[in-house]
Amino acid sequence: MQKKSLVLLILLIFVSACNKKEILYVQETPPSEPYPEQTEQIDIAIVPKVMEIPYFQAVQQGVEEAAKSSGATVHFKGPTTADPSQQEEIIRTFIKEKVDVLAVSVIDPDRLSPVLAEARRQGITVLTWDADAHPEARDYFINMVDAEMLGEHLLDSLAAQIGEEGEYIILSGSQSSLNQEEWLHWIKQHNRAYYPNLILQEVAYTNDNPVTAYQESKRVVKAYPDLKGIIGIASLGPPAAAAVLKEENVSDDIVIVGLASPRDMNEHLKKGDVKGITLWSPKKLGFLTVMIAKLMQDGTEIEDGMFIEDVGRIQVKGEQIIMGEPIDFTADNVDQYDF
Amino acid sequence: MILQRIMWINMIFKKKFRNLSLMHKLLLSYTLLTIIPVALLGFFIYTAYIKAAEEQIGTLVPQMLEQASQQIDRNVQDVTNMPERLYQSQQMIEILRQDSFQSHAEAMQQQYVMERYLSSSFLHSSSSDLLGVFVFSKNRVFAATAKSYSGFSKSEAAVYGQSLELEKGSMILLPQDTNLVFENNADYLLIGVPLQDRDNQAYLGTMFLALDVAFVDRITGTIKEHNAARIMLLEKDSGRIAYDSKSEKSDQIVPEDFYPIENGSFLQDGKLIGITPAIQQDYALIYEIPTEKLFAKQQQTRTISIVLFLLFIIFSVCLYTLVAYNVSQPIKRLIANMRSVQGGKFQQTLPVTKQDEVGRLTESYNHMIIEIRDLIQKNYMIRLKQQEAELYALQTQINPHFIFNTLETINYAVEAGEQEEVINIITTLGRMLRYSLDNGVKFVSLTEEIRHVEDFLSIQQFRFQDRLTWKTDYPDPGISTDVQVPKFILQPIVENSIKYGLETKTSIHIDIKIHQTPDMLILTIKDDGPGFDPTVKTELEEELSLEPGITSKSAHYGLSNVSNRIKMLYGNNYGVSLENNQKGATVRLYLPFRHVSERGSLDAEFANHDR
Repeated sequence: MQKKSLVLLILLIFVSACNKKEILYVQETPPSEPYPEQTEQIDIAIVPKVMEIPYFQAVQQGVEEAAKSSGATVHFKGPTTADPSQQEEIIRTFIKEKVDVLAVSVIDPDRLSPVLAEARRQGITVLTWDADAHPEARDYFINMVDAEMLGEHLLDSLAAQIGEEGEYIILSGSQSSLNQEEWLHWIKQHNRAYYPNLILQEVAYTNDNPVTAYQESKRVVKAYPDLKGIIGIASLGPPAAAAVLKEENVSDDIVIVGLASPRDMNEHLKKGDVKGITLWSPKKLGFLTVMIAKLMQDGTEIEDGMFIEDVGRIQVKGEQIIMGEPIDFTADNVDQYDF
Repeated sequence: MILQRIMWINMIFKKKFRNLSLMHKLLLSYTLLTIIPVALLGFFIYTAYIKAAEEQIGTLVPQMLEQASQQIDRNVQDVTNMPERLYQSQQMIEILRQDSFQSHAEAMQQQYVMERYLSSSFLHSSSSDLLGVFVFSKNRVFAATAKSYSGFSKSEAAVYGQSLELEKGSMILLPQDTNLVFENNADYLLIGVPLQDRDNQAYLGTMFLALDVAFVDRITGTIKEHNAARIMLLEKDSGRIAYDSKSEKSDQIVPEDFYPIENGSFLQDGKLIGITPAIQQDYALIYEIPTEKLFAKQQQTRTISIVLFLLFIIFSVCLYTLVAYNVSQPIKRLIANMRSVQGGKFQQTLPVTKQDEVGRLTESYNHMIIEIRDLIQKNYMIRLKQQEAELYALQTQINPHFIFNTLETINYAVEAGEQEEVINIITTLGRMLRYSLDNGVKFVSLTEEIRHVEDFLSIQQFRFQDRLTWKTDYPDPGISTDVQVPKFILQPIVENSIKYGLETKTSIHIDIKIHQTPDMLILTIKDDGPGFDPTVKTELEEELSLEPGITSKSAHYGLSNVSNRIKMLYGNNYGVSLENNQKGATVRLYLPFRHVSERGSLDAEFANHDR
């Protein structure tokens, strides 16, 4: 009897180890993809150079798309004319409103850098896009394209159309615009290196004003009778120049290349007055700016080759984020773009 | 409760243990002290070892799985990123931007261009496990596949082309979710990625990439350990199995709580199961391996160890039994010997074979036995000699009273001038004296003994005249000469009869009768005196029933002396009995029936007894 119970006891010990879920090891699950806490609403302020021109309107569309997909609150406000003091005022208002991120297309870096630096001091993440401020005044500059590549591309396009010789002028936005000045620098550099017979006669400025653009275009066309080409490196340049050429009936003699919205150039391209125009997608730029602002606010490190949803891979060079390659618009594809 | 039970078992055990024989005790202690600890130790070491091994493997498996999971993640991520290739071609984006309202030729042309591009840059460009690529855009389907397929026709284009628009981001579908079926029923993960017109920030369509689950097979190939393990990829939310290395197609749904942990390993139903999240935590990579396969070698070792241990037990128990036997056997022999000593046999001593404690014990025991034997012999001899001396004294004793009385009778007779009577008495007395002087002879013939009594009686008759009458009666005089009896056994009894009879009565008659049975001689002395006083009789009977040799010096010395001598010579079956008849007392002597020819042997027997 007691023998039986003893055997039973021993059996019990043996059996007790079997047939149940015995957890051996629990590995700590790596935190699932850093999901941003959506509890705090992020305020992002986007300040363009000027409100009512097609380029920045397209940017605004992209910004709104991005606001929808990222869930951030985005404020889009710029001066009515490209006036640095007006822009400064808008920036100050945003600083007072204590936005989380301030993204500015800087009209005049010399005038606006101090206020941006102040915004930074107050803990606001400061980005510049489209046009840069002085580096110490911002965290990142979101550049559309690589400046060197763009400058070379524009000059190459012109040279190909006019046969690598003759006079040309450049229509820039303003002297204070750092990236336009950089493009200009690369154009000149490229000119010196490869096209000895191409002569840059003048750099004219539109001041981001359609009227000034028109007037300047008219002036240069008249001033240089042997003019073969115009490179517009501010988006208002090429449309104004094309209109002037049309008026003067010299569309076939003078070639226009440069940066402009395809919508503005649609007619000129289709009629053959202008063969090709270059730009990036301002929508994409607006979208990317908001996404970068959001990522930075979430604490994500911005890395070279990073993939941004609906944008693609970005390049990061120091404190510069480069969106991608420029798009060439021709009569064939201009209808596909709605900006 | 349990404690009580244990105590109870313990008590019974103790009791039982105490009563066990020495050999069993030794064996039991050996088992308790050696075999059980070794067995328990072995068991615990094995258990601890297996436990440690399990824990080690349990730690390794999730790490291994995590690597595999990361690889799977990477693969899936790579495929998810594949649509990027589409953006690299401006032409393809332009095709997708086109509306479906175009001429048939144009549409077919675009279809051709797009599918060729998909085929070249998705299917043939890399060694991916893509089964096919599908692009749904604006009611168009572009497809490029490595295997022929069915389903996913234009009619679904609307459904799948739009369904993802709102969600944004990629998603993974299982074969059950769509009607897409590849030849051979190949299992796949269908990764849907929305296509976005980045420049215009507009929706273009959806790309589906069918990824052959065989890639999981390839990744986990190294950890499968000769296919003993089963690897599964489980969709966590629905419990559907996307990939199973053991069965081809499985519609089995795994319940949500089937796995107790998300990341780690555990034991269940004799299987070691590892689990780790995969593909953005939506899936779980599961690794199952039966522990018997995992620990096949250990189990083999265990079996061998158990066999060896059993052999060891058998061997050691045999050996120990031998040892225990060697210890207990001499003690058993001692016990047996002591028992025989208890029975009075002091003859045997034990051989001393060893010089250990038991050997010394045996030696001391032997000494003791010899000592006891010697002591007994010594005492016995002394006692015998004493008795012999007493007997001798008795034998040689002729009561001085008797002689005095007889001499007085002779004196009277001489005075009376009865010369003839005097001569008669003196002759008789002389014969009696010679009889008692005949030293060294213990046995005499019955005839001689009877004549001696007759002589004694006739002398007494001279004295007491008519007051004493007697009669001897023996049936066959021939026998009387042949039969041997001890000397002086009748005279003391007859003397008693005369003494007590004539004290109280004026005359007395004594009858002496000899009976003979086949093996016994009975001498009966009957008188018509006062008989035994009842108290004296009980006293006497008690004394007579005592062992011979223990003689009391009582007043009834004569009677008890006769009884003792008979008993000492012939044993307790013989002796003296007393009885009161209606007239007087009867005393019977019981003797064995022995012939003269046996006399020598009788002497020898006595002599033997003497030593």
